[in-house]
Amino acid sequence: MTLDGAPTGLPMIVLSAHAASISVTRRLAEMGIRTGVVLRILSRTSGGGAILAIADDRLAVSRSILASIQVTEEVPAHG
Amino acid sequence: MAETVANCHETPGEPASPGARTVALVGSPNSGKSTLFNALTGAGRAVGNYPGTSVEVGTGRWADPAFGELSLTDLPGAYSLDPMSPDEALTADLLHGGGQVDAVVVVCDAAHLGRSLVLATHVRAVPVPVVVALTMTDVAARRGVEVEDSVLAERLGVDVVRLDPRRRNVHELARAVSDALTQPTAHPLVLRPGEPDGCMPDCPANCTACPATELTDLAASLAADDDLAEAEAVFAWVSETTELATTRTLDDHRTWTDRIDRWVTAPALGPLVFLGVMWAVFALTTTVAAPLQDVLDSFFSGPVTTAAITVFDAVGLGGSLVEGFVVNGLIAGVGMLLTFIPLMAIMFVLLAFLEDSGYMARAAVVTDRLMARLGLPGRAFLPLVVGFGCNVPAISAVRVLPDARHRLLTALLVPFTSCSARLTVYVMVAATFFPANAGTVVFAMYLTSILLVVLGGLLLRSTLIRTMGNDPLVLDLPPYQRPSVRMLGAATWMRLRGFLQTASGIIVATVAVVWVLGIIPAPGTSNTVGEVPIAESLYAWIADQASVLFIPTGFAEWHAIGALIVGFVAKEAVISSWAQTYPAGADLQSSVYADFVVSSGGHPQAAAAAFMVFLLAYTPCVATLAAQKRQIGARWTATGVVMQLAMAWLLAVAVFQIGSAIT
Repeated sequence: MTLDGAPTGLPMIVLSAHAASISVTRRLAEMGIRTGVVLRILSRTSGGGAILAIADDRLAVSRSILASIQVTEEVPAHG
Repeated sequence: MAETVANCHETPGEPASPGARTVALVGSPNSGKSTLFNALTGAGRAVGNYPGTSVEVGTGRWADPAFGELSLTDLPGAYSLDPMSPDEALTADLLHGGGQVDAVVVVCDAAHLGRSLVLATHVRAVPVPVVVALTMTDVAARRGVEVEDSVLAERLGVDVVRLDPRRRNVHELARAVSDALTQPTAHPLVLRPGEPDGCMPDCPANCTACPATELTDLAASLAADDDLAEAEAVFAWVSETTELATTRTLDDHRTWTDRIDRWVTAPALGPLVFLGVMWAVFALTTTVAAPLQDVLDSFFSGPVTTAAITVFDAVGLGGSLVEGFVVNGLIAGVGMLLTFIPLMAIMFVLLAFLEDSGYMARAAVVTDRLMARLGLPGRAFLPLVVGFGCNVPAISAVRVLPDARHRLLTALLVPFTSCSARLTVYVMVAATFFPANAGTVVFAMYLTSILLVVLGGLLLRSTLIRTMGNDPLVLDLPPYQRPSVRMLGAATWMRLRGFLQTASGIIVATVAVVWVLGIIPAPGTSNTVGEVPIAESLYAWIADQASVLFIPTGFAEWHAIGALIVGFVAKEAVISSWAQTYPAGADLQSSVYADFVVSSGGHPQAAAAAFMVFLLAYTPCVATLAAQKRQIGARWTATGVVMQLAMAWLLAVAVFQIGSAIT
């Protein structure tokens, strides 16, 4: 699923992040949104965007960015 | 060529001696770089708790017993040396230029280590001595994150100095920089792919162990192809280094910053909070400042004026031209400006509070949708916010935007943001014509300013700039912090001093020009030079000729039009030149009110509102025009001036015609 449809508060693993342009994709990677990273949607913002938590970093992104990030729910480790 | 600090509010540091070695200060946005620069050089660069505070190059003298003196260059914040904006390109070009800097200090934010290390890794690929300054360790510690300097130093192959720039414990950094400058580079990063034995003088032929080799390979991969897939190598190295260098004692948890953000950026509540904050700023400013202004006003128009007249009478110069210049010009003009010091100080304190607390970045998030309607990214809000302080640095701040069309549109919209110099006029006019609701009227002017930005943006997008790039919001949100008294004081004093320095020179010059025009008789009159009633002077004649154009606005009256003409040069001089056209000791507010009653045909409030709207919308000052010309060229600057004047006139006419019809 894409991040705009992901639930708030749950840890999600980034499968891919491909924005409309290579430069924005690169910037996302520089800001910590890259394949394999675990992130959470902390809250929704005005305009349809969201605040993301990537470890201790907080990023505000717009709706189009959320739609460009493929994620899957992180399965908690047992045992 | 890099631009250096030049705006209303910032003060450059003392320059280093010619020939002094140059050290560049680089870091990701909001890493504490400008704070460190100020601590090292004593300069007064703008410091704020939001990304993109430094948008131009600042230089200053860094003196320390470790090395004598250096020229320290504060480069714009950059996330990497793969630039996305002109500012990042400037930083990349300077470092890649070769020989332009003798060493680089990379500011790494311990609280956002992974992000900082991307830039640090790129810088380490450049063959120049590097020292890493680790900042924000206290913020990281509060989050339960401890950074091991030694691991970082080993991985990066350079000295890492842990410091807290706010406490100014920077001598250790000076020693490290001195070592980097005087000693052979510990890990010479000779970036020659395929030659790992070149990484260190004593490395074995097939060395793969030292960090230099690793970085050489990474840099080579970046240089060979700018593709994202190859950059992944850097990101992987950064992730691994971050993992190795940090110890986490607390789980990732929801912080109180997160809890606040949940409300202040919420879809419905966020915009309301934003409006409430802005209203509070302007209401508080005008309410608290008003009594202080009255005291100062009484002081200058009363005892100071009386004393000056007494002195001139005593030395036999009573009624002379000199007395006229000093009493009607300098004391009236400069004295009027000084009455606004409390107002400006309170305003600057509150804005510094919002900036340093971290709220400004949230404001950019909240306004992102509004900006998107204009085809602008949310980040364009930051230059526009800067414009509410002074338009000149705001024009420079458009360089944080990657897209050229976004920069053009934002630079054309910045003049509609109401700078602090215009506030002085609103306060005087609002207190005169709307005494019971002055704070609300001033707030309404700021809302009108936002409306003009929107209208101007829609107008430009539907006419001159039809195609617009897409730059979605990706904004680093710094944690909220309690602004320190020292930071608030320093930021307020820096801006106040800048305002006074700019205003005082302009005001003395314009007072002199207005005074000279005021003693020259108007064409067709029989007065002699120096013995002219101001109403029959050349100044009044020029303003009166221009006032014909303003008849539909309700303020077609030469005192007001003369002040607006002066305001084209600088808004700081509007009040002083306006006061100058009335007799010494006359109350400016009651004089203006009486004139507006006549010019408006009995609708002074409507005329006053029209006057404030015109003042808001027309060209801010010649310094802004100069900044625009530098940023977007003469043609677009001229286009902007025409648009501003046309919008100002049309809106003023509309406000007066509607206002006078319903009052």
